[in-house]
Formats: sequence, structure tokens, C-alpha cells
Amino acid sequence: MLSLRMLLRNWRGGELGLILWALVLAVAVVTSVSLLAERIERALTNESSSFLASDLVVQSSKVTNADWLLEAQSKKISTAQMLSFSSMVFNGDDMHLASIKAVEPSYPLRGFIKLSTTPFTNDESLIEEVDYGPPQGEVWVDARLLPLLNIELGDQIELGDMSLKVRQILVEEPDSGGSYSFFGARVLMNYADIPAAGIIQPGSRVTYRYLMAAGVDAQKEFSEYVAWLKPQLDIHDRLITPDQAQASIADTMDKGRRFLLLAGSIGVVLAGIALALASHHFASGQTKQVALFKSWGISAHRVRKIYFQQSIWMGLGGSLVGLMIGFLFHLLLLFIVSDWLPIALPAAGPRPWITGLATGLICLAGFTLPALWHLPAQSPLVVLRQDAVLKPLSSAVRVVLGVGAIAGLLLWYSNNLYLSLAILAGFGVTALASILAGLLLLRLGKQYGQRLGSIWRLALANLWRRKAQSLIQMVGFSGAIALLMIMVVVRTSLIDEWRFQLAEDAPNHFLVNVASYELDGVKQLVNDQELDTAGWYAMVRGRMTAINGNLITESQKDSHESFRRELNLSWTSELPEGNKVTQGEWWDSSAVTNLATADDPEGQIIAPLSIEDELAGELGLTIGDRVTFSLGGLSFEAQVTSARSLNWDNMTPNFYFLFPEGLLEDYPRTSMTSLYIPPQKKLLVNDLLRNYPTVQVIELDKIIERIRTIVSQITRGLEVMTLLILGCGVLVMFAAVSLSMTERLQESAILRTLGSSRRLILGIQLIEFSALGAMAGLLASAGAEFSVAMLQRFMFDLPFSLHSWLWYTGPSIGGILVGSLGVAYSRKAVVQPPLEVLRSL
Amino acid sequence: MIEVRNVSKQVVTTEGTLRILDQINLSVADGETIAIVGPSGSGKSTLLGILAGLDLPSEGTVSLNGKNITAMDEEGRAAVRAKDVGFVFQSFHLLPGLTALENVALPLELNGDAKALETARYYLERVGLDHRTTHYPRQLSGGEQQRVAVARAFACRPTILFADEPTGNLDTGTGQIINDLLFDLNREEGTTLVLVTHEMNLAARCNRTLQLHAGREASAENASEVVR
Repeated sequence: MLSLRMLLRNWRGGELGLILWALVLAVAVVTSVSLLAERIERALTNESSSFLASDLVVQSSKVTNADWLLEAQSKKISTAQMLSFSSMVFNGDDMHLASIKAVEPSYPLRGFIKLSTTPFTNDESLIEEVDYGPPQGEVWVDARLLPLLNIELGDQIELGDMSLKVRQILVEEPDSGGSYSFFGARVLMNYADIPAAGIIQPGSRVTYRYLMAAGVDAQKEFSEYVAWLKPQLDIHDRLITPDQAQASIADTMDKGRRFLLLAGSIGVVLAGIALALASHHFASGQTKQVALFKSWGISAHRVRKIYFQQSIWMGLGGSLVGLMIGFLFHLLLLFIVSDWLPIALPAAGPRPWITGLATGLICLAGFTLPALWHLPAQSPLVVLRQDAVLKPLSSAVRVVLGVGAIAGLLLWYSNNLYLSLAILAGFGVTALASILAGLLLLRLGKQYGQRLGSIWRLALANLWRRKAQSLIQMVGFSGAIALLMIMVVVRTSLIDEWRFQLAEDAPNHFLVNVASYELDGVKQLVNDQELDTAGWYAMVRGRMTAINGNLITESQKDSHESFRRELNLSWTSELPEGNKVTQGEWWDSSAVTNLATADDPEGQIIAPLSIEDELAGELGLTIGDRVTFSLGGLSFEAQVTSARSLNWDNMTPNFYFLFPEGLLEDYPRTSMTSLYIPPQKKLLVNDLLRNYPTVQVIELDKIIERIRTIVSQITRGLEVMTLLILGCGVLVMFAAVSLSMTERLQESAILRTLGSSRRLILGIQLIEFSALGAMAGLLASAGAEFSVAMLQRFMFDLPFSLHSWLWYTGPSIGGILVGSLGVAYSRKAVVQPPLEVLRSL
Repeated sequence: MIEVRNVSKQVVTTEGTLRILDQINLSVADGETIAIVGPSGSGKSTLLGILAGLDLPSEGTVSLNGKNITAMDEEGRAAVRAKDVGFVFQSFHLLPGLTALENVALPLELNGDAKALETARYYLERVGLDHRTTHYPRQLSGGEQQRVAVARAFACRPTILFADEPTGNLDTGTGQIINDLLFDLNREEGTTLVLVTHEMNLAARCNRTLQLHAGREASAENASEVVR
């Protein structure tokens, strides 16, 4: 316990202050970031589960297997059965082809149903959230069903053999995104009423959904259950995960998660730098003590043991305090942003705590131990001769160990190689540039400082004189500034991208299956409401009948529904916006012109075909394959000439199969478009459906609203993290400033003794630190630009762009921040009597 | 008992090999006091370092209490220092974060002495600082700091005490007090004392003086002759 006693004495004597605080704060920052990130992450996962109203769904054309329900019951897994189909609902002579959904009372397992008794309202105070479905004999309906059937709340409607009371307006279902309302207004009813209604007959077109969810304490059982269930699924069953449930939100959430990861990783690196600087400072203060120990005959082995034990105590103590402060800090942050984060955050698991503790211990092993490594070998002669001081472990070895520790921690923390590499590369470039360019800048400063006033000359010469220390500080400053800038740039570009995608007037309805003779009328209705469409796209329906001359087999039909059903085929000469050719080549005008002459030996036209790349993969189609289509009894052959990736986020019509113009125009076609319908013009949907019953309206307004809510929550989460990491960056700067403080205070006290004014002393410090900060900021701009380019390219799939603002923000922020920190720290030298300052050093 | 045989020390510099000590021979009996004197750069501190086993000679041998420390490795020399050697330095070398009592107790604690604090308190009392035990070095005057250092050196009960310019940083009056303390304790504890000094009156209090000049032994005389 001697080592512990010595550690406590060192702490009391103030020698451990910086290193221990660096450690505590490193652990606190990483813990609070991880806690916050994990809780936000869990909230996001819950949110995406609510898109499915559960954690997992089996969609099927058959009723749910009773054994599955029994097994789930035995494993404490919540379940709900759901059935959806289209059916006519009546009120006297008024009728409507409604989209019926029958649910068990346990529905929804995740998320809430929003109800109101006021039709067409967005007023939150009039909307109630419930986590159960309608009772028997009752239905909850879309507001637009009321005018369609001329009914009011409390009236009865007829469904099959049953009469059901309309009790509530259905404002939102959690899983509305999973099944678009193709055929009209939603009617939500109780699952147990289905037999009495007598509307489901063998062969009816219905979709069964089996919903499952498990609490935090039953996750293991849930995994076991899913593993048990999977082999029992057949071709009619499809397993749907939350991510699949909502592709567009999955991408946003994924990027949100990656950002949290990036921010946390930057926190880890910043904490590492802070600790490295503090350890360097601590170790250089221990040289004399070790020499003294050795002059007393304490062996090198014993010295090593003492310092090792002290490090372990320090690591454990610092980490524990860090964990506690981290926990409090994350609570404080949650409190500050509680208005921003309306979703209740679930509790975090053990991982953030382990991450925090590991950060403390690994940082200590990577930075503090290497910094102390040379101490036991220190010659005891130092007690007699200062020049006998042993050089610390070579910087190269320490850098390798430190980078190794950080890389390991980053990789473990992020589980993402690209992210870790990008951060390390960005930091590496900055550090290397700091050393090379830093020397040059310091030299230039010294050279040109000669021509400036005396304070400038002194300050810039000081920086050059202390160049080794200045360079270490520059690496610390520039690393911190670069990492902070990386985070701010990525955050800004992500938020911009989301904002762009989810513009207020982004299309929220699709009109599909508009026949040619209806087109003018539908256009007129839309125009009457003064609404804009995303343009009208024509399409024809056709089936694939053969690939490379081989007829589609039954097993192929079983393997993918695209082989079974009619497909939407469209045509265009230009590559649609948001599409990217991933394989092959897009047709140019000559290919289209020559189409008529590009006959095969039998004189039949071979059309070029562009197919969506994921579907191509699923169907096993590659460039050059020939696909035969049948359109209304006529067949033609096409050759795959390109594969495209589509942007599903932009809410404009996308097509899996595209042909050049001049080929399909003569076949019977329908048209489709997407448009933004504001809530107050929602009844246009009723007019459309009443006047053109065959037109299908896909309503995405509710789901877009949900996406918008989630994106704004994610955005706020990012803001919180950004704030936290900025705090971490300031810690690094503080550690770096402390590094040279003893020497600086000593010099300032001597200058003060010689009668120098407060202005001169603080002026020198201000210029030294501001110059150092500005130089570091400039280098940081370069490192950040490089790192951001890598992250945008590989991790966030964002377009590359130069950020001119980085190049002036870096130096100015660096200069101001480092300058003010330095001056604040140096004030002691001019406030206290010089002798007191000297004695305290 | 210290035995020094043909000790030389040379270092390689950019301007060639520099001979700091040249063929030094010396015997110091148990309980004897000896002063090493000479101008700056004559090799006094280098010799002290070699005698105490803090440094190795390029040639020759040094034995402390019959043990040839020049033939030992660093661990062996450390063991000898732990058992037999104490130090008093010109710049005191107190640890700033520890109180006077803790500074004195630390080497005892490191050697596993269960009564470290008790012993430390006794020696602080003997140097007249029993009322300053909880004070930190920065709260003590230079003379008081050196008294703590003297207490620390004697608390380990060394058989040989090496003192490097023990009063070099102190004014004459305070230096005198420290000198008295050093010699009194030395006499009471029966320690062998080897000190490096510039001060002739301090050297004069020793049984013997070793005069160094450019690394060589200028003469080994009775202290009274040097003073005269």
C-alpha cells in the first residue's frame, strides 16, 4: 500500500493534478458520450421498431401457426396478430373500398396509435396516444372516411355481416409505413371480430402479420426464439426487421448512428491526446524523485513496481471518478436538452461503463506507462548533476505505442475500420504536418519577429527556443482543432443533406394507375388545388417470361415475386435524377436512333434495358443477359445494358425497369406522379378516389411526418454530442497549455523581478500562445479537410466538397482560444509576488 | 571503511577524450571525516558520485565496507547504498509535495521500515524541527530545508554519509548551524563522513582533506595545514 500512500501524497502535493484530471475527464467524456450515444441509439432502435410496431414481423399469406404463439408465450415474448385486406364498407347507399386492418388488443407492441375525436386535426392537444387496439364491435377510422360515407363519430358502418361503431379518428398508426394505403381509407378493427364479419373466405387476398417483441430482460430468449422460428418459415412467409420496414429512415438512422460513433471516437482520441500531454508533463516532473530514490538504494525493479502500482491505482481511481462524473454529466446534458429530446430514452446497457473503464486503463497503458518507462533506468547521478538526465523513451516508440492504444480503442469502440482509419489518418496528417510545417512556421516567426516590436521579437524567439515543446503543443492543439472541425463539418453536411431531402414541400403522395383517358381529368383536379407534381411518368405493365431464351421456371417464380407478377416498365432518354449507373453504360441518343436497325438475326428488335442494381442481383441478371417480356399478349426481347442505383429518399417516382423512348409508347399505358398535398387540401384524395375509382393513391404524408420528427430528434442528438466533444477539445488545449507553464511562469517571475511590466509579460504570453494557436489552427484546417474528404467518401456517402471556411476559421479559433487560455493561465505570474511564484514551482 | 584504488574517470566529448579524474587513491577509516576540496571543475562531485556508487569509474576500484562496488551491477550497488549510504545535497532535494515528516520518512518507508514515521519524527526533533513536521518544503527556509535533508540522511542510519556542498546554498550563519548539526550527529551516530566543499572552515573540521586539482590529487594533508 506504500504506492497508494505515495500516490495520495503526490496528489495532495499537486503533482498529479493534471494527469489525474486528464484521466478523469477522458473517462468522463467517453462514458458520457457512450451513455448518451447508447441511449440515443437505443431510442432510435426503438423508434425504428415502432415503424414495425414490434421488433420483428413475419408477413404471410397464411394464418399464424398456433405453435409459434405457444412457444412465444413460454419464452415471455409479446406477440400480436394482424390481418390486412381491402373490403367495401357501407353506410346505407354510401360505400368505400377501405383498407382494413384487424389487430389483437396487444397491438402495437412498439410505438403508439394516435387517436382523436376531431377530424383532420394536427393539434397535439386534441390527439391521444394509446398502446392498444380497438375493442370488439368498434372501429377507428381515417378522418377522410367520414365525408366519404357521410357519417360522424358514433355512427355505425357495415363491414360484411357486421355493424361496427366508429369511435375514434385514427391519426397515426406506428407501422403505417409498412403497408401503404393503396385502396383507400384505413379502418382499424379488432382481430376477434373477423369471424363474425364473415368476410375472409379461403382464397381471399389477405395479408397476415405476426408481430413479436421482447423486453430488455428477454433479449436472449428472443434470439433463441427467432433462431427456432426461422427454419420453420416457408416460401409464403417473409421475415421483416425494423431496418427493412423503412428503408428511407434506415439510411438516416444509420448515418445518425455513424455520426454518434464518429463523435464518440473523436472524444476517445481527444482524451488520449490530453492524457499523452499530461503524462509527458508528469513524467518530466518525476525524474528528480526517481534519481533520489535510486540514490537511496531503491532498485530499478522496485522503482518500476512502485510506478506501475501507482499507475494502476491512478487508473482505477481516475476511471471510477470519471465514470461517476460521466454519468452525472450525461444526466446534466439530458436535462439541458430534455426539451429537444421528446422521446423517452431507454436505460443504457453495461457497454458504456466498460468503454469508459477501458478508455482509462488503455489510455494509461498507451500514454502514461510509456511516458514513465525510462524512469526506473534513470541514473541516480542526477541528484548531483543535472546533465545526467536520461532521455525518455524515444518519441517514435511512444508515438507507436500511443497510436496503437488509440487505434485499438477506436477500433474496439467504433467496430468500424474506415472510421478509425479516417480519424487516425486525419490526425496523423495533422501531426506530421504540425512537426514539419510547424518547424518552418516557428522559424519564419522568429525571422520576421525581428522586424516587429520588442514584445513580438521576444515572444516569437521564445517559441523557437522552446521548439521541441512548441512542436508537441502544436501537435496537441492542431489535433484537437482538426478533430473538432471534422466533427462540425460532417455534422453540418449531414444535417444539410437531411434538410434537403425532407424539404417542407417534399412529395407526400403518389398517384398511380392513371389511365390515359383519365389523365387530363386528374391533372385538372390537381391543378384546381394549385398543386405541383414531380412530373407525370408513363408506364406499361408487363411480365418477364424468359431469360436468355429459357422460360421462367416454377422454382424461379417461387424464389422472387418479380417473376410472378406484372412489372411496371417505363421509358426515358435521360438518366432520371437521383439514378446512378453502377454497371454497363446508359444509352445515348445514337443507340436509340439505331434501335430500329439493331435487329437480331431473326429480324426482331432487341431493346436495351436498364435495371435497378439490387433487383438485378436478386434476379441473377447481369449485363448482356437477354430478358423476354410479355405485354398484353405481345412479346419482345431486351438486353440488359446497364444497372442503376436509385435514390429512394427523394420521394419521386423510381422504376426498376427502364427502356429507351420509342419502344413501349404504343402499348396500353397508365401514368403516375408524386406530389405534395398539404394537410388542408387532403380531401383532394377523396375527390380523386370518388371520380376516378381505379386510380391508386399512395399516401406517404404520415410516414414523412414521422421521418421528419425522427430526423429532427437525431439532429438534436448530434448537437448535444457536438457540444460535449467541443468541451473535450478544450480539455486537450488546457493540457497542452499546462505543458510549458512551469518554465514560462519561472521566466515571467524572473522578468517581473527585473521590473518588467504586466503588459510586457502578458503580451509575450499572448503573442506566444496566439501565434502557436494560429499556426496549429492552420495545420488543423489541412488535416480536417483531408479527413473529411475520406469520411464523406467512405463513411457517409456524401459528395466531396472543399470547405473554404475551414481555412480561416482554424487559425482564428486556434489563435483566440489558445491565446486566451495561455494568458488566463499566466495571470498568476503578474498577480502574485514573484518570489511566491518561484517557490510554488 | 572506504577503499579507493587507482580510480580514473574519462568522458568522450566532441573535442576528444576528457580526463576528469586521474589515478585517485584513498582510504577512509570507519568514523573518519574527510573533506574533498578543490576549484570548480576539479572533479570533486564526480569523485563523490563514484565513491557513493552513483557512477562508475573508467578504471580502478572502489570498496565500501569491504564490498567492491565497482565489480557489482547497478542492482548490487543499489543494495549497498540502501544499507550503508546516506546523502545530503547542496540543493536539498526535498520532494515538494511531501511534508517535512513525510520527506524524512519516505526512504525508510521504501525500505519497509514499519516505524518509519516514528523514526522520522525522532530525527526531526534532533535537528530541532519537531514543530515543523507538517510543513511543506516551500513553507520552510533554506536552512530548515537542509535540516530536514540532514534528518532524512541520518534517519536511515547509514554507515557512510556523503554530503555534496551541504552549505553551498546557505548564508554563513545558517551554514554554521547545519555544519554543527552534521558533525554532532556524525559523532553521535559514529558515521563515516565524506563531504565536498568550497568552504575551508568546514573542511578544517574534518579529520582529513583531499585536495583535487584538474582531476588529480594535489596533496592529502592534515586539515589544519590546509587552513593554515
